Amino acid sequence: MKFRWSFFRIGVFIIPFLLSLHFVFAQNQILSHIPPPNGIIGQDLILSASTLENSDQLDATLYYRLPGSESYQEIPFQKKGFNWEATIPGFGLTVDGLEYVVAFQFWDGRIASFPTLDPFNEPHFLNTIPPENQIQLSEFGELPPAEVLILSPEPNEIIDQNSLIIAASFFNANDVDAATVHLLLDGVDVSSKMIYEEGILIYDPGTLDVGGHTVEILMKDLDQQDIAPVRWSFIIGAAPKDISELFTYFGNINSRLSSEEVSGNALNIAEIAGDVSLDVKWATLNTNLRLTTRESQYAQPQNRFGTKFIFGNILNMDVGDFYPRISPFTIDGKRVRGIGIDAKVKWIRLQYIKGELNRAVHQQNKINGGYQILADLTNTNEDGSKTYYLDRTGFAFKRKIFGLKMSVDLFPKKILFFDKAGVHFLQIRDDTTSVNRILGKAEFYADELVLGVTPGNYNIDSFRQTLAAAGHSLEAPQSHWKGQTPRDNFVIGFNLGRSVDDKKLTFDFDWNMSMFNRDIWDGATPKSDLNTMLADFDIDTDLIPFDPIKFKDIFIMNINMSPFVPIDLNAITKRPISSIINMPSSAFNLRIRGHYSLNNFLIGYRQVGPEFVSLGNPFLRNNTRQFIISDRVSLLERKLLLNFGFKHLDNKILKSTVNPLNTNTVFLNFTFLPGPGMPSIIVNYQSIGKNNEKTQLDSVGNTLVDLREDSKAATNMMAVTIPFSSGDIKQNLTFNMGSVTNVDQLDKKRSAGYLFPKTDSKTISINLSSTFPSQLKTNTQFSRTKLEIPSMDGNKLIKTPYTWTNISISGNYRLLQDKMLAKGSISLLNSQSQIKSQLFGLRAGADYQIRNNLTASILGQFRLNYIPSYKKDKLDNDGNGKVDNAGEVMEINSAGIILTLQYNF
Amino acid sequence: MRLKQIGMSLLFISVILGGDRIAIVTKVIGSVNYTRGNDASKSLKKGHIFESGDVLRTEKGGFAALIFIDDKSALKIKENSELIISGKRTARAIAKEINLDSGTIRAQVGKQKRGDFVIRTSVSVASVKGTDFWLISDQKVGDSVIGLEGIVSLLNQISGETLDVTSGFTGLSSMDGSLQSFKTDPKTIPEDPVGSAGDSKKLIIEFQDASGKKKTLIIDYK
Repeated sequence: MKFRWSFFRIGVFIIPFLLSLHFVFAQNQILSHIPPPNGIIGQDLILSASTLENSDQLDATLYYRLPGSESYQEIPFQKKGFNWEATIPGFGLTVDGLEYVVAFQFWDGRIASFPTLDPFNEPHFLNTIPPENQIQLSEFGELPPAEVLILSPEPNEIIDQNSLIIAASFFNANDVDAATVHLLLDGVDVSSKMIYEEGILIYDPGTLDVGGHTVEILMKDLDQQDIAPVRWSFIIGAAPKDISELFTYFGNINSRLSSEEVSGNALNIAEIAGDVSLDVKWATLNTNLRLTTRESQYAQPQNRFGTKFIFGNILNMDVGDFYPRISPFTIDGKRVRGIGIDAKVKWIRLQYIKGELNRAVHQQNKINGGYQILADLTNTNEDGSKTYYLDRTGFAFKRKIFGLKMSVDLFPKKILFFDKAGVHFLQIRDDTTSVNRILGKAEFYADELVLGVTPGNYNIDSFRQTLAAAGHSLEAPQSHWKGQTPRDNFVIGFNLGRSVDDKKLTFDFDWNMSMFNRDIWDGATPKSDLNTMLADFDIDTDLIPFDPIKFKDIFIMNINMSPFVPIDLNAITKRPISSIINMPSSAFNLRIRGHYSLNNFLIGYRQVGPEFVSLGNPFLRNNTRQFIISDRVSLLERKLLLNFGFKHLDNKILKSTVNPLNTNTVFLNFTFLPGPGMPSIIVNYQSIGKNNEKTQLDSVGNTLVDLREDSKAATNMMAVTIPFSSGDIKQNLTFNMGSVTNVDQLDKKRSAGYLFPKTDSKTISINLSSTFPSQLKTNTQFSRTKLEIPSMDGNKLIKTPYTWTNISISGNYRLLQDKMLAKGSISLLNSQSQIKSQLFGLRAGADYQIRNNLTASILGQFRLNYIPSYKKDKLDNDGNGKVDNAGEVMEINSAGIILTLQYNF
Repeated sequence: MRLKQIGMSLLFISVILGGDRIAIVTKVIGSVNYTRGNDASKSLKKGHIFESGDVLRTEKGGFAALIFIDDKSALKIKENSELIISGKRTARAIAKEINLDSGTIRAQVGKQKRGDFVIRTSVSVASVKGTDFWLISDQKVGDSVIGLEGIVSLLNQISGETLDVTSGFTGLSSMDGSLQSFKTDPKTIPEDPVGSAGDSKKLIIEFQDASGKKKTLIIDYK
């Protein structure tokens, strides 16, 4: 029997409810995510994360990219009962592996991430392995197939009425019990009318309606075990063989309704998503749509609507939401809503983008969501009265984007050594007119600091009137607000490339320069006012050949721009090359890739200047230099994969940098996959060393502060998977062990009271998945995570242990001749920290195949919190007026139900 | 002993003469008849199961298509043709033999070809090594094999000469023993009333890069 990897989906390896404590911006954020040991090339990867911090306003996003890329693709997490899940599409998992970051942003602005430290520059690397040759698993699992030959009609054949005869041959299907063979035509059992003799099935259905029809043959083997049904479709048409299809179409529509209560807060979401593809031979139209009740005018859009027109190989046009890629330092996958054109004729390519990155948001839906009183800016007038300052808040400007790239690919020809070249620019500007200047209905709170006014909620008119009655006044500017300022950004650059040895070795160079203005309220400064602006730079303004006003449509130049002067005009005559290379607003990337024999290697150098900004790629970290060298070796016919490398990162671009931070990373990954049915092993090792070259303590006032950093973090992970059988039960045992150990290299030189704040952790998990001869499949998981959080007790370092132990059992079972898949899970999470608690969870649901292309699903979940210490703490924890009553010990953590309907056509 | 020999002979004859079900008729146009053993000729209908040794005859305007049950090899018989369909069943395959008296047939051997596929005429023997060809047998002139796909090995029984006929070529096996091959004139290819899934095919391969951008490669082939 063929081994089934039905539980090899990465979701199995992620232990739900297993918590790791991450302190990023606040003490109370809890994000739990256990990375899978690997991904499978070309197959979707589901990543799961969870948080004990139940919030109805939670923005959870997965960022992923190919190793070595500069920017990330974004995928929002979907709430699935207890967990949040995001699916990385199969095309994102390539032979080079994958880097990703999990980021949860809570309603109050707190952020939790995985990895914890510097996630976007040190994302988690996931190794990928090739898929096994296996039969595509159906949604309802896999049954052993029988060698039944479809004789007539052929699958998807268009056939006329008079030619229809349904026939199948069981010549090679010797295990089939003839008495169990059933024939269904369009879901109707016609077995009583068919002829089945000596392994030949024949049925003449007579007259059928014009259109599509489906045939299904159900059967069992001689042991009365189900065999995979044989299904196929055909079309009854008038003259099918002579008619070529004018167009083809396919797609799916998925609707989802969820109703959940989380810590007393209701969360009801309805969502419809769909994809449609229409092909008319000379053109293709692809549309994807998502409508969700999470859409709100007070936030960036959650709805998505994108249409792509593809005209042969020449022209692609996007309308709506799309994800353009111009270059890693400009825009590389961030969502744009507008129009995009990608035209390619022979060796010339033109890319055009116009639209908006962000839409205008006028306010937040809460008190102080549109206005807030800034007490610090209250002015006392000569007559003793007060002028209070009312600032606009909770808004976001519409951020417009316009970009263009022209490139050529001359391979195998070349010009001046290069066979690839391109130039590009990107302009991004906030529209200052897009946000409402006055909000008549927005309410804000005036507290007791406002004299003569009763504390309470007011709108601008009522507040102004109340102040006037009290003899005070109000200043409510309609521009130049104190919070977020409108910005302008212009990036220009070029790229060159060369491929040799039949593209086995490629060289790429990408250079960009940016201009950034962090406040364009005042617009461009005319040349006549430049003397004042440039007074500190000792630059003769007569040497400036242009008036900034004339270029305001391209970039707004004023005192808020950066850099002020793109290049050091005094140094360029003496050191022209280094002046250009080290321009503070430049960013460049040099990369050599090779694919030889068993090796895929990469050597690269990337530098992003301290003043380089691209609003189209917010993940770029400026003021960094990075060198990387890595190699991936495939041995033993891709059974053994070795991936190793070294990366150095620092911020020593400017000579004036004091105490630069250096990060050196060494990584090694070993993956051994001998083949189907054999044990496999994956070992990862990563060492990250950080030091800031400080040797002395710093003085802050009269106090000496130890800001020296020289640490090493070693991350180890090992996963062993062993497939085996117990009688008729096929089993798969996975053992996963990991640890993170931080060492302070300056430990012996530190003072007694120094706190080394980094946390060590250890994780162990065991997972057993079982497939029974009946339709039952189960998955049993055990995991334990232990953290040691350092803190100081006086001068004594103490490490407080936090341990979470989780046990869960899940299973699914097929019923009703594979039409229904019932599933459920039960889990228990035991938390031992400063507060001991248990979390009990129950989840149950079913998928039902209503028709061949229509599936309905229902999932219910329930989670109960048990905290025994609440009964002895002499506090009224549940707010019912009673102290330490039995009801305080148990509380419903969350409950909900999710309904989905999917239709494929 | 004598009874045993008679019994074995009868058994042997029954195996030789038929009884094994080997093919199904999927399409019939016009007047087509079949004869089984010593029974009278009957009108052929779609869904009929052919046994080894059955005789098939198409009249003017007639056409029949049948599929073998072991590997989906197809046989199409045009008008004014007469043939005997035979097949020897083993556990995994049917060794097929068509005795073509006269007429025009098209043989399409399935990709998962099992067992031999041989067509005999009074002049020639065609052994199929490939997939798709026409064989036109005329008792006065001889046989012509038009290769559409794959390779057909053509033996002239009179001279003993053999020739491989490949796609795009026509092999001519004459009653005088000659065997020759020449490029097929497309106008000589008989019309197939059913058409075929194999006449024109399209292979579509969709590529997708890491950012999700798709490109499609379309290959038209016959």
